[in-house]
Amino acid sequence: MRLDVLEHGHGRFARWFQRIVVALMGHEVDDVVKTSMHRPEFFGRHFLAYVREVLRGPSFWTVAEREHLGAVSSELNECPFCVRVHTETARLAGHRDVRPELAAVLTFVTLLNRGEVTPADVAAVRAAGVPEAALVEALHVNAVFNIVNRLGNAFGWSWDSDEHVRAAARVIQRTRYRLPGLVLR
Amino acid sequence: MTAHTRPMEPTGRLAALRAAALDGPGVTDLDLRRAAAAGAAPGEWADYVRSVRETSYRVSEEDITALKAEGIDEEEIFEITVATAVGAAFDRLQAGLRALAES
Repeated sequence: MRLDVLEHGHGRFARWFQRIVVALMGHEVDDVVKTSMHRPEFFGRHFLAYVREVLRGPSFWTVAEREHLGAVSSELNECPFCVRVHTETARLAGHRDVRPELAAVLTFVTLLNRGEVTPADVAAVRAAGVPEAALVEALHVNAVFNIVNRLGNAFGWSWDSDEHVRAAARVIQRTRYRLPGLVLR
Repeated sequence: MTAHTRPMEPTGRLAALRAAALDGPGVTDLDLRRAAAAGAAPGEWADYVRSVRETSYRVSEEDITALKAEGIDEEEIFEITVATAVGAAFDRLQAGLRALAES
């Protein structure tokens, strides 16, 4: 990472946590987690609470659909780090076909990330059978990735290997974006 | 869960994140963080904030080095990058919600 404080600027519990992960799993904690554990009161604790709510809370969209939407947003924002891991998390969550409702929202989000959207674009989403609340939920998924894609690109997040990506995706699948509370204090 | 109350929860979480990053304790001025969130930071921050907001995939090691050469430290870069990213995402969310409200 481009900032040494994100690599090494962690509290005692976060440092222990990183050593345990390396010992148990054979790879380093990923750069999103390292960034989130740096001064978590400024960013990480609140960001991860938002992420959990949006990507794993109750929703019109399945977990796999939200992960796929995240991968698409990441593609639009040109964040290869996020595309890699969220393509894998979508696969692990069982993402297969895109139902018409999701296709309509993907079109909307593409327009939004490329420039602007109009009420006519919303009408197209409604016509595909997407409830208003579901569109709002999808906009929050897109917002999560608009934050994290920029941080990944600016801070220079990277993966050590394809296996590192797969391991991180498995951890996300299992923990549902939860970290031990102590590392976020 | 109802269609009308459900979206409030993410909204509350995002508000907490914005409060921490834009109004909470930090090493940078609140005015600078808010300007970064709006995509228009002054002086030595201008180019960097614009890049993070508009074309973050172009941000390079050299951009960070250039900020440091201006005497800016890593904690400041951390905070302003977070503020910029959160602000850009929030504005994009609002643009979508505005189209929804007008439809």
